[in-house]
Amino acid sequence: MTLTGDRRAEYGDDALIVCDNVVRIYQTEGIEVQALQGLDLLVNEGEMVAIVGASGSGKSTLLGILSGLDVPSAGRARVAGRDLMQLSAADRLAYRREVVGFIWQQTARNLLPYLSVAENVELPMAFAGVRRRERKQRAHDLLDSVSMSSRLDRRPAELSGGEQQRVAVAVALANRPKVLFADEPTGELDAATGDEVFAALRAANTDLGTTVVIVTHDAEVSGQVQRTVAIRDGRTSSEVVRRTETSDEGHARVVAEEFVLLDRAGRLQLPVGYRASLGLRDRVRLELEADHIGVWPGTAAAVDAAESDEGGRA
Amino acid sequence: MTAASARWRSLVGGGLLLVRRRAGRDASTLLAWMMTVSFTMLVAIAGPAYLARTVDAGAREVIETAGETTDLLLETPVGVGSPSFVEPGAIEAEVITAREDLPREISRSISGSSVAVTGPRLLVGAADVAPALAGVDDRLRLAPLLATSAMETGLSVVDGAGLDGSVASGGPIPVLISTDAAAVSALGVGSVVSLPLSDTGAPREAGTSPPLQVEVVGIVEQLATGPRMVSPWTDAEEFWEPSDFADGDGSIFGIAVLMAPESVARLIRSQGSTFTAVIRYSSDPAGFTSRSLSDAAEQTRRLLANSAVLEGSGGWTFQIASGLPDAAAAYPDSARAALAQLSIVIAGVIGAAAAVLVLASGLVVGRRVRDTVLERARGSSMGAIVLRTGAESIILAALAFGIALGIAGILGLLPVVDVVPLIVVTGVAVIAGTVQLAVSVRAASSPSPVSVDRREVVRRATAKRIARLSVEAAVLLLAVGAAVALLSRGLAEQSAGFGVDPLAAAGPLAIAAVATVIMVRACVILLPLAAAAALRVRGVAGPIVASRLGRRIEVVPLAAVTIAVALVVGTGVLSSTVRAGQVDAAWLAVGADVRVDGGVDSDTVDSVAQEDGVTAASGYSARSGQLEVASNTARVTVIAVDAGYPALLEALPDIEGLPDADVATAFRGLVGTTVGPLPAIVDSGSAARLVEDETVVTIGDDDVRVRIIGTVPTQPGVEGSSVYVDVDALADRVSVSVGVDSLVAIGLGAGAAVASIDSDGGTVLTREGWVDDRRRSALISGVDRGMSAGTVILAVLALLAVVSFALAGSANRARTIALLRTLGVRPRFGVLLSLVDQLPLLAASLVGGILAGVGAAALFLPALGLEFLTGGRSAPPLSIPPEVIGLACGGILVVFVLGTLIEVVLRRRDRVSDTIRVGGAS
Repeated sequence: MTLTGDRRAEYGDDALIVCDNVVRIYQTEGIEVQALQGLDLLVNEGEMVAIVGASGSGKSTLLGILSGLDVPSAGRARVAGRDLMQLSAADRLAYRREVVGFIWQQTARNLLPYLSVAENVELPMAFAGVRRRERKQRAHDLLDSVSMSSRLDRRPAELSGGEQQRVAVAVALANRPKVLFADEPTGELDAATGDEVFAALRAANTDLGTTVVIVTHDAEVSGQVQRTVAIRDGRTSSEVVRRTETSDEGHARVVAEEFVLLDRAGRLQLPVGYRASLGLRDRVRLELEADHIGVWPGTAAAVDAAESDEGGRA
Repeated sequence: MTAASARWRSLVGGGLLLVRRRAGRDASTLLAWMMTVSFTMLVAIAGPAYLARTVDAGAREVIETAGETTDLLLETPVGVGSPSFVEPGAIEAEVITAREDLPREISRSISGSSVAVTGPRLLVGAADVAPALAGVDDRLRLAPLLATSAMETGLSVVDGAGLDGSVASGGPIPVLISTDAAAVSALGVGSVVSLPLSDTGAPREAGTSPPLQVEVVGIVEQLATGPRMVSPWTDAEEFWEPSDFADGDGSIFGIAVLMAPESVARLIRSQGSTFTAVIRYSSDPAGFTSRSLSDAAEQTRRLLANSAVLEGSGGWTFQIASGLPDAAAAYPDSARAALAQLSIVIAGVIGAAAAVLVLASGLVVGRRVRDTVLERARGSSMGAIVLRTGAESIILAALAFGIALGIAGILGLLPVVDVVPLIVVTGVAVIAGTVQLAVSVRAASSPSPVSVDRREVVRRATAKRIARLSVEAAVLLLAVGAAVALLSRGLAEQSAGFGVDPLAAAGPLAIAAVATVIMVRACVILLPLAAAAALRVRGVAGPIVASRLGRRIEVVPLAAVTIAVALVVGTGVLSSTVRAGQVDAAWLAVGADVRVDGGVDSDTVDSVAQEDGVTAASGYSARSGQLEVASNTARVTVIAVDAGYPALLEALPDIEGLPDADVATAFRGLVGTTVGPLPAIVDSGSAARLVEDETVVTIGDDDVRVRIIGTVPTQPGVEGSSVYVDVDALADRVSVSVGVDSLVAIGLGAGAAVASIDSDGGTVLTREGWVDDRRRSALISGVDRGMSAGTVILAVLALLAVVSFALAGSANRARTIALLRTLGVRPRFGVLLSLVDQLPLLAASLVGGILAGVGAAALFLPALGLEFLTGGRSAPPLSIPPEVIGLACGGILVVFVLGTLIEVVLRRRDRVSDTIRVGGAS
């Protein structure tokens, strides 16, 4: 944390998407479920980020909040300078129209079945008050960019799943959103078709400069983005940052580094494998060194257990 | 582009396309919805129309029953040479002029008019007739009658000539007589009658000679007239009905002679007397409505109180008479009782229809929520969503209205009598879908998060509980308010109109709403208990049934079916109460199974008493008399009964108002006294005014000393005050002959026994006949038919409600059964699932509906004025027939079976794999 002038900089001051200790509690039939338990996340403008996690970890809840369809119970969520906790109904409507676009997993859920492909793409623009001629032109351009311009007059039921999702990408981009959220966009598709859809998302990111946040289980997808954030138990637990390096021979390769996230309270989650390997549980001992912090088992028994484990493996 | 135009485009952008395409997709659902709306609109039009027709028919029946007594009669003297009298030649014009002066409602109700101008009766000796009468002592009593143009038009001359051109200024006055008059009096064409005598028979005074003569110039008979024409002879019937009677001096032939207006004037001048004109304005039953009857009766009442408002063209004085106010006096209460009952039915139907519309709209909304949530997510404002859905609802409701209006036109139900029910139904049809969709979309796209602040969570839960309790308290207060207002107001203070009574309508609906609230609360307690019990059942059924029972009960379908059941039960109970009340009232009106007024003697009574099936029979004779009470006398009916009367009283059923065993014992005390004051029993009203036990009854010329030995309530079939004595004991104390001339009999065979006797002109009144007449009356039969039709419509609405409810849950059930089938459960388990889903709703509706129906009937019974429909003296006791409860239970069963069948038919093409994949959405 740094000080700028006499003002303490806010968390994620320069990020496009900021989630600061976000909590979301659901109540069903009197039972409360805490889907997000103080989640922190920063996404910068122009990034393409994947969010991964086990089922029920809170990925889709997070996407719902960020897309303005849901409201957190506590914490702070900000997208493109808009505080999602403070939005009025009118602000929220403007936010949905102008700032975000999204794609759901179910192909049939993204498009209105009784409208043609072109009409589906035009619809968000119509809701935003765009003139008819402009709508038609932009719809054609968008569908062309996702290679669907030859099927303008088809109904969704006449398209394949991959085609529907590509149209959905066009629909989501209709109003030139700053951020595109996609919830398992390739979940119902085979690998080849999923690649086509992912290509469309990547194109939106690279060609249009739209920030893309994808929730996915698909390792193929998560492996192709710049950053993959893992969520566990309603919190961000780790992230993998990928960068492309070029060797002296001129070969490009992707280097992925996994980081454990340290939250604003100083908490971090040690990966399960690490803990199991060293028998870390209950208490650990920290030692501050000049350039790192050492984590040691907290009891002699734990040390013995860890040593015997290592001996066994040897 | 300006911000305003952009906002407008965002509001309407894509709207037409979305509405059109979505309507195309949901065409079958929308068509079903539209038909439902049309049906409810038609019911909303037909209900008030039927109500209005029923009370209007009752008004017309009043006029038809009363007949000519409701005509308006204006009487004025006709003379010559004085501004105080109408001239004979001007009287027909006066009929038209006077009508123009009549108050509007009276004038509008008039179907035709007639006028009869008659002069003083003139007694003529046999010698004054040429040729002379057959007997030297025979006399003629001539009634001079002015020939109006209407009279002359309806005449056919059979002998001689008519009056045209036969006016003579100096000779005999030409007159016409009827064929019957000619036959009775032996007068013929050319007969001349001198009029030397005045109508009193005294000799004409000197100085008036030469004596005026009339000459028969023609003999006429009446032409047939159409049934609807007002006869000009109504007040001149004696022209066609000559009399022939004798006194101590010989025979008198009473005939009327028809003469021209100029002749009347000449006769008036000669006699120095005046004629009397009776102008009759006939009422046309077909022209009356409930409102016009009341208005006309009120205006007639004012006219009778102040006839000065009518003065014709010359400021004449009219004496006015009409029986309309008396004939219509009982009508408003009867009509209001009828419309109170029909209002309950109409309100129930409209209430149930509104709930069905909400359910039907919910089905349409259910198909669209997901799409609309997507529209919302894509940037559609809630205003645009409401605008699109509202516009579609308005267009479809307008189409439905057109269909309803067309059918109503074909059925002759137009114009719309009362727009309020139609507005309610149309409003619900337009709003229900829009509001439900907006609420659903809002809930789906803007879920309210649970706060992390526990105090905030508790505060929100408390606020929610308070809101729910407030709604429930409001429903309860509404019901209490309606009940208190209706009970404290009564029919007499009902609004002057004859439309749907809002208070009578709101009361039972509010009670049904309270029953719904109670059932919702009861289900909150009972359903978890039932679910817990279901868990103990072995096999797969237990847990599944328990999970279905654990769900919250749906309020709208519960309210719809509860209202329907409540109204079916309530109207059934009221209908049964009225019918039972009519039977009781028949006992009070007839006093036995059969009554014969006049034409019988004691032997006849004995023979009737001996017939099979006659439990008891008694003879009596009723005559008018005066009873000395304190220092005054009161008019009473003296009823002289025979010795069988106590036994007859003992055979009467135990009905309030009928004499009991103590009264019968008192009547035994009337028999067997020949000396001393006559033992008598008086009605309790007269008894209260007596100061001593002994008093005097005057019958004709006889003053009979009576000793009061008992009092009775007003006896069956007797109007006003009455004094009962033994017929034989009375005969011993009066100078005229007194004997039994009427009889009453009780027993299953009483009717047949009386039918077998010769009652010689007596009037036979049977209890069954009285009830049949009552039930055939326009108001009562109209209410009966209205209740029956209401029951059928409510059953249809209940079916629609249950089917809508079943269809709303069928997708969920289809998915559940599809999942269960993958676990090996048989397809027919779906029926059990359907039963479990619907059973709590139907059971709660049945219990709540029966309680509400019976409760509302019992609560509002005193305020509905049912005695006006039964003919009884007070509100009949509540009658709860088991068959009505059975009908409600059977109806619910039928509705469930039909609802399940419809669901099975609609789901027959479902495939398990498809259902699992797409979630069972239809």
